[in-house]
Amino acid sequence: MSIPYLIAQWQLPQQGRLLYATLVVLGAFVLILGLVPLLQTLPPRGRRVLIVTITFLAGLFFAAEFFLPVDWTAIFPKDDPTRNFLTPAIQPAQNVLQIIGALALGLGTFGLVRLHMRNVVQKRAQWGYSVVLLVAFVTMAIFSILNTLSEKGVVTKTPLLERGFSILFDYTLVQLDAAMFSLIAFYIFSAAYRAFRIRSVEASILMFTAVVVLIGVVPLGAYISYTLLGLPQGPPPENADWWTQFLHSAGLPSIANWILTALNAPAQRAIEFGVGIGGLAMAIRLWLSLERGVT
Amino acid sequence: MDWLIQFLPLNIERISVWIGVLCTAAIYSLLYRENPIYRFFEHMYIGLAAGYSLGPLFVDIIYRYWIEPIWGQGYWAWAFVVPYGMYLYFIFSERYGWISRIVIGTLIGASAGLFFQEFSSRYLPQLNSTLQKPLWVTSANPDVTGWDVFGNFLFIAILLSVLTYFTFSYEQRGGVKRVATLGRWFLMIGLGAIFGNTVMARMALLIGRIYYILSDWLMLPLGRGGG
Repeated sequence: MSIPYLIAQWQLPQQGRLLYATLVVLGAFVLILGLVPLLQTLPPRGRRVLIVTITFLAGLFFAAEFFLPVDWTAIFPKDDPTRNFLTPAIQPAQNVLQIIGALALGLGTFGLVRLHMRNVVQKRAQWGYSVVLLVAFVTMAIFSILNTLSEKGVVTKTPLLERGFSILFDYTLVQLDAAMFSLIAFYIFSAAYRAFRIRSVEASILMFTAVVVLIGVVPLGAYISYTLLGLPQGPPPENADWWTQFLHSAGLPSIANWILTALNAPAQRAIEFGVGIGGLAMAIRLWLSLERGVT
Repeated sequence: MDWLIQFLPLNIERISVWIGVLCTAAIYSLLYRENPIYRFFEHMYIGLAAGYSLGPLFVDIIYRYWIEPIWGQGYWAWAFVVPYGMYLYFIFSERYGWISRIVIGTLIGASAGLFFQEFSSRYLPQLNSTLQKPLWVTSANPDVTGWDVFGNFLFIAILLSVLTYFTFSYEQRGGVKRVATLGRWFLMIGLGAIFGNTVMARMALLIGRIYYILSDWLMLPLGRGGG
């Protein structure tokens, strides 16, 4: 059992838990924020060493948990032989990352609000739109937070909250979201026209594949192949000659499917391998703090 | 007359539908040109999206992983996580800004560690399945047909040629360049398929919008379908 896991499992007594928990949280804030003046005394080199060490240890924990052999009963006889001594701490560690991630989201939101507040206060160009954004943000934040808390039973779900959240979310945000993304449908065709206007082998292959996949996966492809051209539909009968087999697989839906599975899949896999190897190299660089400017 | 009474925004349900149509029309007004109505709704969209994220992505997580374990179950050690995460907010300070990099380092280090796990669990099985593809028929794999073997050869050829195209460590010349060119063509097939699927997805969203306007707003009997 790892020490962080044991600490994470240490519970406050049931009696007076509310008070103790509040005191512990206040103490934690005082302690952690009280460290700031102490950290500030570190020289620039010491600061970098601290950040590099924390980055390395955070990465080492997840890497070690995954790569260490599972059976540690020779060293820790009471341990579970189906997992190593770090495994019990993996879930708490992931929860810690979730919390820090949520705080990072708060940071982004704070940055957005700060920017638009500044626009309004300094009456910069088109500051009226910043007012719209802030009003929408505050209204939605109130309803969204209350809705989340009502789902947890912390606050009561009133009809006003339910209706207000529904109008803001279902009838405004979802509609704006769908409209915004469907807008791309119009521009994608103009982008395609520009891309395909370049007469090269690559552009021609791209266009041909895109058109075949587009037509092949919608009912139009089946209509052209099986109704207009009269090609046979479905799998060929057993012991059919090669020409019959060919006709059964010559429809646009079959060709589109073959392109997606036989030609597209290996190309995508090659891209994935490239991304994986590149990601691995970048992960090692980040873990060892070789990427200057990030940590 | 009945249709008109049902159509007009005279009750809360119809007002909600009208709001949805107004949002859609305002966003589509960009197709004509950039205009104040579009910009109004665009900013409203950003504000609503940012505001909404605070509920499920901030309050929910803080409540579930921090408040509930401490006050609900008494796991006091969690009390240190939020103050530590709050170091992030020093990023706005010129003097104490470097302290935020401690938490950023934690996130980056953990992400790197998790990527090692992902690489092993996601990419290595793919490599394994690629290397296990039979390239000839033997008594060990009697179910494999000639067509399967052709497909496997094609798979390996495309994979290797595309990987060759992505090899930038040295100058591609002669035979390698020809293989890389072939790889680029196969890559175009992949990108064409992605493009086709993207167009399909966007068209599906557009059809959903049109269906909403015709069915929910104008209340035309279209039957089931759309989104």
